[in-house]
This record gives sequence, structure tokens and C-alpha cells, in this order.
Amino acid sequence: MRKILATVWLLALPLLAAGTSQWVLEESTLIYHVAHPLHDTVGISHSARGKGVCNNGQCDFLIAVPVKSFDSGDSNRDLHMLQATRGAEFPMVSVRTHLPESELQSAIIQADLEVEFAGQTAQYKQVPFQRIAQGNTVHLSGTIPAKMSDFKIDPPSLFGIAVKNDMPIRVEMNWHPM
Amino acid sequence: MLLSPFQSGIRWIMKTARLSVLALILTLAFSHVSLGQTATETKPATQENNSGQQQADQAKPDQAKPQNLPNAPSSSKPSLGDLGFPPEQTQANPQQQALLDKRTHMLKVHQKLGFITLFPLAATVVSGFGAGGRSTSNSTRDLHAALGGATAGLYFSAAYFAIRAPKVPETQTRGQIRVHKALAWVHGPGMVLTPILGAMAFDQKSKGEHVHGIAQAHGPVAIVTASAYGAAFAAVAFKF
Repeated sequence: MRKILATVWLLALPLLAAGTSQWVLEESTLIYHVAHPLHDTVGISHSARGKGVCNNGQCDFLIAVPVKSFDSGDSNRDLHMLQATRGAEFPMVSVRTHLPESELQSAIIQADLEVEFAGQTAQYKQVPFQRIAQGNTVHLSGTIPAKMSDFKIDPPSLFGIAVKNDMPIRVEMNWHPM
Repeated sequence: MLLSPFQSGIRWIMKTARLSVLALILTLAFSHVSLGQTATETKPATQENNSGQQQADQAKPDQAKPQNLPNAPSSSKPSLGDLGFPPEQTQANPQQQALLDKRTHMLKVHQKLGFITLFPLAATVVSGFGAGGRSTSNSTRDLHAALGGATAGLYFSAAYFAIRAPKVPETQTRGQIRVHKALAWVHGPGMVLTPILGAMAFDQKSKGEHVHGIAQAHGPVAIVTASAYGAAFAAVAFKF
């Protein structure tokens, strides 16, 4: 009996020492907003996938979405967006963040984001995300204050008038532990 | 040999202590190995992210690299490969980018020429109201004909760039662009018919005749054509 207990203890120790937890993105809605004097445009994607790994009190999160998955309701506009953002050459948008695990319990999570898009990387410091826990699921919502110039995107124009440089991205995500 | 309960207790504690030390050593060894494995496993995943990422790294000399960040992720950070996207979604496609670039360039020319066409078109419509009359020669009629010719020339140039712009495979036309394209079936034939009917009407007027026969349709066809063209412009300019 003692030998069995000791063996179990021996096997369990490495697992306890690891202290790792993982999160997976269950569902998401990402919405970009672009403004032009003649009309505003929004593009929506539900195709993001994400994973978070927490180890020794520190967490790394990665969220990625295909550029072509954004739907503005107009196929011509979507193809122009894909061209302007070099979406065929750089097909994914990825967002990375590194947080202390304790931050995941806050009602407002201030995240330092590293966004890779259109072949460029931009960083956004202290982006606030509202956190609402619903059972086993954690709902996060916030807006990334992205600008086209951050990614060296030439603002597309319509009838000689360029769209505004601001391109805020609204993020709604549901995460749950693996 | 019989042992007292005290002695057997001491023995059990010693045995457990030895096992604990062994477990501790194994734990340290295990965690070191598993960290090493994670680092080795992450490397190819980062490399196979996509060629776009590598190109991105090359294209951003002035941007901070992740390694330089104070809070740079540890070796256990998730990679794009962990997310399970199909390879065709994550791999760069330079051929398609070239196709999109060409398409956008041609459609920008189409947009510019189409926008410029609006002005002679409007002027042609306005001058058309003074192009009638009973006289065989009329300067407004000449101006109307010249503006009509310029409009037709610009229109067909704009149409050429729209028709010749490469199509992107597996793309279904959605949204207001459908209205824009559908209206081309109205103003396209109208732009062919209007100058023909106009030339017939001009010829009849020049001979001192009343406009008769099919040439009488010149005005109504022109109005429908111009209206369809204006609506096609509005379909891309404004959101309904």
C-alpha cells in the first residue's frame, strides 16, 4: 500500500510542478470599421481561432483570423480590402499578448497587444478589455485602436477621396478553459 | 528480527524521505526536459507559420521585434500552427496578390473614367433640350452631338477596364455591386443605341425633315440610359 502511494506521489509530482493551464477561443466576432465621407463600412468575421497558455503565473495568448474571412456585405469591397491589405500575400491577422495570470480575474483587463497584419507588426499598449465570466466561459470585449498607417496600408479611395486613417477593430470573444 | 512500532515508524519515514528526494530530482529533470521539448517543438511551428510572416519580419526593420519586448512571450507561447487553420488559409499566395493588384488597378481606372464620364453625360442631356427646333443648322445641336460623342468615347473606355479586369476565382458577387453590374445591362445597350438614334435624328434634321421613325426614340432612350448610369454611380457611391 505504501509503495503504491509513493509511486502515485512520484508520478503526480511532475504534473503538479508544471502548473499549466490552457484556454481556447470558443467563439468570436471581430468587426473593423472604416469611414469615408460618402459612407461608412464595417466588415465582420467569426472565423478567429485562439489559444492561451498559462505557465507559472504568466499567460500567453494568440488569436488569429484569415483576412479574407471579413465580410462587409459587398464582394467588390472585400476584394479591394484584400488587395489593399496584401491579404493574399499575408493571409492571416494575428494578435499576441502576454499577461500575468492574476490579470485574468480583473473586470477590466489591460492588455499589451502585438498585432501582425499586412506584413507589418504594430503594438498597442494597455488596450482595455471588459471581462464578464459566465459559468465556465469568459466573455471579453474591447476595441483595438488600429490605424491603417500602423500597417503601412495605403488608404483606399472612392472617387478621389481616401478613407480615414482610423480602422478600429471591435473584438467580442468567448474563452473557456481546456 | 522483530522491530518495535517506533523503529518501524522511523524506517517508514526514512524510506519516504528517500523517495521524496528521488521524486524531487525526477521532477526537476522532467520539467527541464519538457521545457526543452516545448522549445524544440515551437521552433518548426514558428517557421512554418507562413512565408508571409518571414516576409513581414524582413519588411519591418523599424518595428520592434517580439524578442525585444520587455514582456516577450516565453517559449511555451502558442503558435499559429496550434490553432488548426488549414494550410491553404495560412500560406501566402503571391499569384493571387498579383491578380488582385491588377484587378484593383484596372477598376481604379474604370472608376476614374466612369466618374469623368458623368460630366459630359450631364452636359449632353442638358444640351439635348435645345438641340431640337425646326432649323436645319443649330449650334446647340452640334454641341450636343460633340458632347454625345465625347461621352460615348469615355464611356466605352471606362467599360473596357471593367470588362477586362481579371475575375477572382471562387468569388460570388454580393451586395450593392450587383446593382451596379445589373444596371450595366441597361446603360450599356443604351450607350450603343443612343448615338445611333441620335445620328439618325441629326441626319433627318439636317435634311429639314421632322424626326421620324425609330430616330424618335433617341430622347427617351437617352434619358433611360443617363438615369441608369446615374443609378449605377449611386450604387457604388452611397450605401442603401
